[in-house]
Amino acid sequence: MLFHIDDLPVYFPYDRIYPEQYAYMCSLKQTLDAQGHGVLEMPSGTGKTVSLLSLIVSYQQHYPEKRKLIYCSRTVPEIEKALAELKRLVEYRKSCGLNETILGLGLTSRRNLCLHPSVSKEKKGKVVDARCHNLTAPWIREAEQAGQDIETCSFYEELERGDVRELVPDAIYTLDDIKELGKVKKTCPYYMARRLLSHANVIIYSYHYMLDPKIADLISKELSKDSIVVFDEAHNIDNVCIDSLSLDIMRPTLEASSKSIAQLSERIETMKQQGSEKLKNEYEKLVQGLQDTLAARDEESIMANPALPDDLLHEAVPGNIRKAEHFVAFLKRFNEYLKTRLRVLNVTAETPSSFLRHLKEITFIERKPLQFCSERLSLLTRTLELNNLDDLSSLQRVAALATLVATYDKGFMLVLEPYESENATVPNPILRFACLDAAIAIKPVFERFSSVIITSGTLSPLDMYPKILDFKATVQESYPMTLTRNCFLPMVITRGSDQVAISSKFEVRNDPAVVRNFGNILIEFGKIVPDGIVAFFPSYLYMESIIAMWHEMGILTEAWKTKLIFVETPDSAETSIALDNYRRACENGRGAILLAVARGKVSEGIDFDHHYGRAVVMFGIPYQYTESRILKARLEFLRDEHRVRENDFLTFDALRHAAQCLGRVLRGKTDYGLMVFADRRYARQDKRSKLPKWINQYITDTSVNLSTDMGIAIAKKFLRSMAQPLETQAQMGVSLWTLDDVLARQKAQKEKLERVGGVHQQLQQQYGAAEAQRMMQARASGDVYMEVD
Amino acid sequence: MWEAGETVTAQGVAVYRKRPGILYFTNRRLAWVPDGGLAPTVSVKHDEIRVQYVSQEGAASTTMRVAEFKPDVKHTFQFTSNTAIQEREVIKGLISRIIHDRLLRASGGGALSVNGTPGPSGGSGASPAASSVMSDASAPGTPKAPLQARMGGPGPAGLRRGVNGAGGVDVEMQTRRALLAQNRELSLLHTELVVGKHISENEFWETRKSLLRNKAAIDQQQKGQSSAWLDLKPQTGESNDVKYVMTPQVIHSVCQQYPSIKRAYDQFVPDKLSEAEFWKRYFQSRFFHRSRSGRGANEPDDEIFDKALEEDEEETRSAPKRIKLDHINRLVDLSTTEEDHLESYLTPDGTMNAGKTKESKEAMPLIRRFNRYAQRVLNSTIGPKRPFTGTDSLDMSGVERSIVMEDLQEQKESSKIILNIQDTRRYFESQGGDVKSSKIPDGVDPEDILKQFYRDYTSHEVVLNKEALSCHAAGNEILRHFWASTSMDKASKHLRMIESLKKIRDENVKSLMIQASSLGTDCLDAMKMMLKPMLNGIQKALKHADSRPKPLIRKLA
Repeated sequence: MLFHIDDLPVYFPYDRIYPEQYAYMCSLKQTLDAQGHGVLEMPSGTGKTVSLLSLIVSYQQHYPEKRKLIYCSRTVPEIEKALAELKRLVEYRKSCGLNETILGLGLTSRRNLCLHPSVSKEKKGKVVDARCHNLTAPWIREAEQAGQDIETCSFYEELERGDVRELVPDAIYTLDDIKELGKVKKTCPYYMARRLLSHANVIIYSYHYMLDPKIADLISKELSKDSIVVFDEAHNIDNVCIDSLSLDIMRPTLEASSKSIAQLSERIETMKQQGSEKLKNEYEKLVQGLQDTLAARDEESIMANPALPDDLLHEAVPGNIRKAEHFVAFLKRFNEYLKTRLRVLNVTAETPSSFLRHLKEITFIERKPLQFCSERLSLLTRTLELNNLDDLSSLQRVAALATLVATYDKGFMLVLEPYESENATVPNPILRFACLDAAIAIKPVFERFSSVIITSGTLSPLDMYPKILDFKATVQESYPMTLTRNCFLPMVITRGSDQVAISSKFEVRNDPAVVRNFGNILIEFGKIVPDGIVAFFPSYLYMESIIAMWHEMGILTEAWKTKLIFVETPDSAETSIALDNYRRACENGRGAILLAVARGKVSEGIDFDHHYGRAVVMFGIPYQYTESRILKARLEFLRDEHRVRENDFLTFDALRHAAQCLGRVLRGKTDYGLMVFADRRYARQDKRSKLPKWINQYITDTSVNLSTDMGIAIAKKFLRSMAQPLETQAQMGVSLWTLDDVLARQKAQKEKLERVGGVHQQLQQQYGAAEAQRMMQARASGDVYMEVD
Repeated sequence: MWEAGETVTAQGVAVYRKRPGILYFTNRRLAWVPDGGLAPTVSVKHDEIRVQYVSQEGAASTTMRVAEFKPDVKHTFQFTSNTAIQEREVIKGLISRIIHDRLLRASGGGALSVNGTPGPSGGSGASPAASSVMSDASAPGTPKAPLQARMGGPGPAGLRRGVNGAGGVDVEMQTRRALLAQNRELSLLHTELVVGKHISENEFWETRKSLLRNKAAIDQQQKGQSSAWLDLKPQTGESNDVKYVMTPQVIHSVCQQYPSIKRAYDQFVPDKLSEAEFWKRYFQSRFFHRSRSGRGANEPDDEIFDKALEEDEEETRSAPKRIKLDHINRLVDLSTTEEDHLESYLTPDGTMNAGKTKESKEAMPLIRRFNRYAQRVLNSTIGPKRPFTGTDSLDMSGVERSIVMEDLQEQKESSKIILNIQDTRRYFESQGGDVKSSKIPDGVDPEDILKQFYRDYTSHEVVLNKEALSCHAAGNEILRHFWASTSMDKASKHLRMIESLKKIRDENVKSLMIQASSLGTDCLDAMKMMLKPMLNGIQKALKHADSRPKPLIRKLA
């Protein structure tokens, strides 16, 4: 359908629309017009992506500036789906007669896009990157062109020969499409995509390509300022920001980097003996402060700086690390220092500046040269023409730590934990450099781009995000879900049939009665719910211990009688296969239960709509590991800086994960699902109030404090009523709109505005401007009776 | 050339399709390898051999023909060596035994129960076939068969076989008989019509094809394999003996749950160990006791099962190293996201780091076992995942399907077939015709009328009800056949129907009337009322028949 919001024609690729989608699009337009930032919460399963894309593409194509759209998502399947939506949308626009050229593409790692027959077989991204570098590094290519018998990548070479703009006609390319194009033209899809980023109208990639300094600088440097940036499924974005500036180091890393340092020394010696000009050349340039020319336009550089571009120093590299051998010695000293620090057997926590002070005392290493560590290292690897960069990854990590600890101070801390967990006896020390302030990593994005939109199904409470990410939101909205027939049933089970309260609270989680009650919930729902059930646990550790206890109690044997059981494991390949089989079992009619973790990979991006998930059970409340020192430091920081109370934040964090897990089960309003919150604490108001509006509005008083058998009875009734077909006619006008409904709504709104405007004018004339304003506000808030004319 | 564990029992030099070669009989199959060839070109598993034929004594050539269950698949081998007859006889004997065993199994029996006392003193000998726990003849074959079939149960194939009628006429007769046995009314009608020579058997069943089909489908359908996690419990008998009953299903389950046991089973049974012995040792082994209660240190060493135990632990200790993720749905491939951007420099905290603690050491193997067992159950019922056949368009449709929102699209009205009534007025009039005349007179309460009707209805004399019903049903059936045979090519049938109608009217109805009248006038009235619609129908039919020109009947010479 085609309708107008103000003067903007919006092409929406369906015949019907949900009221929430329309409202969402109006808010989006508002945000874009105001050139400000927005936080928008839209219920799960109501077609958020298609609304977003259709509005922004319409906006982009209508106005002359043709603002670029950068759409960031979390997982590759989500990126693929978004690209498919975009493709469908553009086809629709074409079918409506619009004559436009839109270039849209997605970007992911070399590992997912490589076509080289042998490199593409590697499973690890690190290895693919390194092997790609081995074939495409500038010195390799020079040597090949000079006639040496050295292997290069034919796809890359073919790409270099042509002009990428001519090679790739304007269209929407899904990840498959770009690979197909690469196969046909025998060019490298990854580099094609990268080079086209600056020309594309719509770019879709993962958050990290925008937020993580290590990658963002390489990829997203040239994007124009008036681009529209959208972070979809952004409820976890503060954690992404924090993680991108944090770093851990353990003993094996230090051992490996020692070896790398020794290798570097050897290589330098060899080069010097060969009388190579390269080292001398490098030194000259560094003396002159021209390190940038050395870096040049090197897109093959895989070792980018871990610090934000604005925090980099644009000065000459300090004297004591200009010479290659001095720099390597410097690295060696730093590495040894870290080794000694890791031998300490008690917990230490300090700020970066205190760490640097201590470092200087012991090793005389100053702050300034540390800051240049990463940069200097990448220069060195280029000068030494090193291949097999994956061997250097540990050293890279150490250099990254050096750069980060020297660049940042406020909002960061270092913690040394000698033992992995409380009851471990063998020390396994880990040094953590933790970012506590989520705003730091995302600040450049908010400052550089005029419109940044953060959207998800679970962003409650809305004002938390502007606070912890430190930005001003022009538009903050949360939309309820309009339903003709309740298509999901949230219920809170607080106790088992034996009236024992259930909870994942640390003190009671291993109590056999609690564990048995949790198990009964699984068994009983397994008996009554058709097809697939997904059950989430707060952590891997908890899931493992519960599974062991359940097996001993015979609970799992009971569950096996009605459904197959699949479990998420830490290995992603194994879990992928389990997920695939889970889907097959749901399709087949045999039915299956999937046990997963609320903060794990499965909850991040896998959909369980329709028969893949007819019930979702959240066992316990998915709090973070509260004993973690980093977490405690972060909570302190939030309390001091943003006046966010610790409990509030922990609850907010736990509940957004819970809500996210539960929202996965719906897609569309004819889909249905049960949402079971299994913990005593969910009944409390302070927890429930943190759930998103669209879930909260359907939690009734009768479904808040249930025992297992009560919950089962309610669920049975619900499932029976859901099995009846829902007439489309019944939904029309209420939860499903046609074009006529949209136009009617617009007319009504216009009339209301005119009426309000008219009244306002009247009052102004009567009472003067200020008084009129006050009266309008009072009227709007209902404090005053309406005057009867 | 042979599979693992396969041994050749007998062989003979034989010609197949005019090519010389050697015919082998192994413990798994019958196979023929051409001279100079490296692999068998003809391979018939034991279960696939339906019947064998041999040429007679004194015939010119010594041949043997083997027919498979697959329709029209036969292999003919001609033995050509000096000892042709002996070779053929040996192989013939072996094949006979296989067919004989199979027939024995199909007719019930075949369970194995293993007796054993707990403890190292060893149990008494096994007593096979004592308790037959097979429920019905169509249970999945022997323990060996499903294992050898390697993930292809007889389920789906069996179903298809029966419904297509490839089982032949016997299945059809069986189904007919079963239907008649189940449905009393149908059998009465059948007796009346077919035995009474009104219609032929085939004509009767022609209009009831859907009934036959449904019945055949229901009978053929086998219950799917239960996915329950096996928990083998012993049956304690009176004399302190611990008895485990091993049916083929149980054996199949155990093999599915523990692939290392399956491997051992394939290897040792039935060549090196008998089934009973194998299972006896199993129940005494550490393997069994470990899986039961987590402990198990004081069982005797057993080379087979300890090896199986080691293999099992090895498999489930850690994630498999090389997993091919090519043919799983892309939307659930988690590795693409893991490798989407540069490796994170972070390690997750203790609670999210699975597999490290003491509990995880127990739980992780169990979790892996769950995932794998579920996969095996799934594969054995619906077949393994078929890798995409080249074209990626198939894969894309998965993504397409997951983005399109059906409720936002315009629903297409399903095309309906319009009922074409030529003169609607007449139709509706004829439907409601009599209603006009029976208006409720004023003053009479409708409730009373209904009560009266109910009283009449329930107190109605039903003395001759059954005969009346059967006569009525028979008459209607013949009427149906009559009207169905109005076209030219069914002329002879048409004539027959006319005869039958006349016969029904003149003989059966009359006799019923006589019987009714002998029981009283109101009985006669009731009978008349009951049979009136049918008589009307017969009248109309005969009138129609008379008004048509008599068709010529060509007598075949």
